Amino acid sequence: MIRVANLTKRFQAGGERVLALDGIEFTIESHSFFTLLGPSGCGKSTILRCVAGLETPDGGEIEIAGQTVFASAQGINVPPNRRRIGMVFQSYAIWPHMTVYQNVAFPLEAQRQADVRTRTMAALDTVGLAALADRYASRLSGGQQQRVAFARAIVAEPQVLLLDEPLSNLDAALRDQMCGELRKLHERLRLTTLYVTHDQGEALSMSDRIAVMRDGRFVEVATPEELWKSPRTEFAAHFLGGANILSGEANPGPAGTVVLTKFGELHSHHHAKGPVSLFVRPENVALVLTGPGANRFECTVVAQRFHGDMREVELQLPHGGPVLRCRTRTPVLSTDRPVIIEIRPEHVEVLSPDDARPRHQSL
Amino acid sequence: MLAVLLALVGWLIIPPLAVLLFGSITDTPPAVPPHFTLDTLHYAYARPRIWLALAHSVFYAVATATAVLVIGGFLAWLVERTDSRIRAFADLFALAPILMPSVLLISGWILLLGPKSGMINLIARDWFGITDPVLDIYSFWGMVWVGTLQELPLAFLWLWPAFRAMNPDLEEAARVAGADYFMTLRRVTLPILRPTLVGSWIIFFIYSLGALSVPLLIGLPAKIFLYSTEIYLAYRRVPSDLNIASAYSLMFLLVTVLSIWAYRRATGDASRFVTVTGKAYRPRLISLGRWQSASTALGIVLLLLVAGLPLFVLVWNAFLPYPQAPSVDSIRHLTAKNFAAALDYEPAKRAVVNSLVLGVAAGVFATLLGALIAWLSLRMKSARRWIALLDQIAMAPLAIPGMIFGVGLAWLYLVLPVPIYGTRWILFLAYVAIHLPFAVRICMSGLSQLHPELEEAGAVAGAGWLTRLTRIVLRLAAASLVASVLYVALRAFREYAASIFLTAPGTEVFAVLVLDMWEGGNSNILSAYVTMVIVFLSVLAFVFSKMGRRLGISA
Repeated sequence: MIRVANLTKRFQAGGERVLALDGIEFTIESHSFFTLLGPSGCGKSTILRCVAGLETPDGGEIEIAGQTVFASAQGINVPPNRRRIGMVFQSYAIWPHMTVYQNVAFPLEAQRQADVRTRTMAALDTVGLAALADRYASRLSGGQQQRVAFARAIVAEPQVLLLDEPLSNLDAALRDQMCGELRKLHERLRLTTLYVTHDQGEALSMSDRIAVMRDGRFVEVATPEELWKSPRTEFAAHFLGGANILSGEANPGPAGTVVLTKFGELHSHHHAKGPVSLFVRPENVALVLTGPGANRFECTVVAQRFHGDMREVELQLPHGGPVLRCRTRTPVLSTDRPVIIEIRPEHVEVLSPDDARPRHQSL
Repeated sequence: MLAVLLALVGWLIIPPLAVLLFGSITDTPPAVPPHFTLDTLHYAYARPRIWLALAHSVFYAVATATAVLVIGGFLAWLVERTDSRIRAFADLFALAPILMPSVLLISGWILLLGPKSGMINLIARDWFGITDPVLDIYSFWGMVWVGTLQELPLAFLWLWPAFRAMNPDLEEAARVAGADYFMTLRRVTLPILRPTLVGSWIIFFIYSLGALSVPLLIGLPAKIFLYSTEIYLAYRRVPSDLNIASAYSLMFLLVTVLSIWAYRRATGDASRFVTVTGKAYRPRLISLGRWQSASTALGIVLLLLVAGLPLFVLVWNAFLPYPQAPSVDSIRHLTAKNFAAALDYEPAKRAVVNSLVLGVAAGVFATLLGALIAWLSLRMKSARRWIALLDQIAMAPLAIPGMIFGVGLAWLYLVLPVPIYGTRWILFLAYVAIHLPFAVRICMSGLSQLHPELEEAGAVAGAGWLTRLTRIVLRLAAASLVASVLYVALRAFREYAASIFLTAPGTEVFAVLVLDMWEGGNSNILSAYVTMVIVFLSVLAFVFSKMGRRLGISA
């Protein structure tokens, strides 16, 4: 288990002090996979480095497996080498002067643990690299170095596993494969894992819970499914990609809420009042053949792109409304004929207004 | 063009070295028909004296290189990897050797630690009543002390990039794995830096071995003879024995070649040390906490040792009739007479002019060659092996002691029917050869930033190679070329090890003149002279840096 409470960290940037982490709070249950997702510079790596003890926060508390490793109030700050953590760095940080075996055995030696040889070989077996034990790091491919880094992180049976964008240096195909393998390994080893990434695909496919971050704060914490289907914030909806964001004025209606938009009335099952932002996933925009009805709109086709399994169509909503993105399996659409679309009320999500706090707040 | 360049660079560098072999297997002076014999070599190496000198030299070089590596490495670590405030003034270490050429640094330290008239010993006597000298510069450890201070700024500048290039993740990974600071240092940091550290040590070793100023100014009066001293003495003997000097130089060349071989071996497996790199390394600095003020103090003390104190004592002595400890009484003795005396001394004025003219001329010529070599290495796609050879020959002087060039050139132009021995031309050739590696490197770094398409656009527009070179490349690389000229000129101003074998009355150069003035002169007049030169150099450096900023040079 990892518990982080009220974590703050300031950086000196130029002449002013910038708040890099602003009162971060979260708990990672034992054996679960928790991901910090956000654009670069949002503070996600800083949190991970604070948990590792490589960076000293300015305030707050960090607890790993019941032991307080950092508490500003009590002046506790356990050095990284006594936190019993495993970590994979973005650059892998494989020591070039050691062989694969020596790299992986190092944590056991440093922590004076027993059975160095068997456990090292077991860890190498886990990542499928036992055959390369005597090679030097630079003789390995990127994917193999990544596995060495992983073996080194798990060999000493750490209480938590910290992964700092470990897949960002791999090419797309290998990244996909490693994603699957990492999740499988997690299910086998059940290590409490804190994962940092800017890639929503990695986050969605591996995590139990995801914290979406922006400007040193959590925007939203949820399971991958919740985040994908019904994000609560515009930022999270945008960051997870491919979202249609619409705006209008909400009033109580028969299905729950009826939102008055530029292009007409839109019914939603969610409750809201006043000016709102709405969210519709492109795959929930359905093309229908029949005429008008509730939540049905006549659109013109602006553009379409073939994606292999899907066709992405950009549709112009009527009455000067926005362009809507739609994912569909239908064959090529004619551009001179209008199409009718339907968005079912349960697919119209209401977003809470965004946190509009400025990013560089000087203190 | 490649052939011409290869011939020219080859001629500059190879014959002065090859002639040493010729000198070693003859026993006849340069101008007469040679008589081949092994007697010279036999005579040279049969004397135990030379082996003792070699032992001294090796011991001196090992001690100096080790001290320089440890202090320079620690300083580089402080500046690059901690939040030490030394970082703010670290650039001064680059400035120190420019304002304090090694002959001046040594002069300053003799004036500080000389047994009878050194300022520190005078202070001990006058203020504390200690009559015996506290510290005596004229000792083996005195030589190591000054030798270390002399190389320290260069060592620091050499090691700094190595610390900058190391991925901090590698150390943090060890910390996270459970290693404490000491274990991280022992098992990760030092092994990763090992090729760099060993390579640097070898370079420092070669430089210490080839240094001539400390052995001459301190070793000779202390009767501690180093190997380089023996070469110098063989040459200076009347009649001068160039055969023996050559035979001795041969051994030097051998040691140098062996060291370069060791250097290649030490740094050769560096490819093993290339790893995947992550995001641009953020500066994650180790917080020094309560050691902060100690580190600042260390930085200031080192700056005082490598420049401040010697500078102060030189200026102080410049205004005194004879060496005195600072006191109320001594202030009453302050005089400007030394300056008048120094200005009256014709060779002194001539030396400054000679050094400047020769430095700039050699700078221009070496830069011309360097730019051509760099351009060929970067752009020419055919004859790569010949270009590699050209580059290797041009870089060779980096590892060869200047004095070897001095002896070799003296020989060569006494043998050849080209009457330039004893003129400025022979100094010019020496300066071009010795400084060619620096010109090549500076031009290379400048030209490598030019995208080849800029030239290709010129070619498409119909320009031949000469037009492209003069109208496009040289114009765009102008800033680097000017930097190269200035750098060579500044280094030439400090040069003494080759010059000392090549100067003649009328062609005195600054650094050699300072050595000569120590032999037969008044140290206060010497101080006045070098004070004026330092002021002059500072003004030049200031003007150039102003101009440089305009041209966009950051050298």
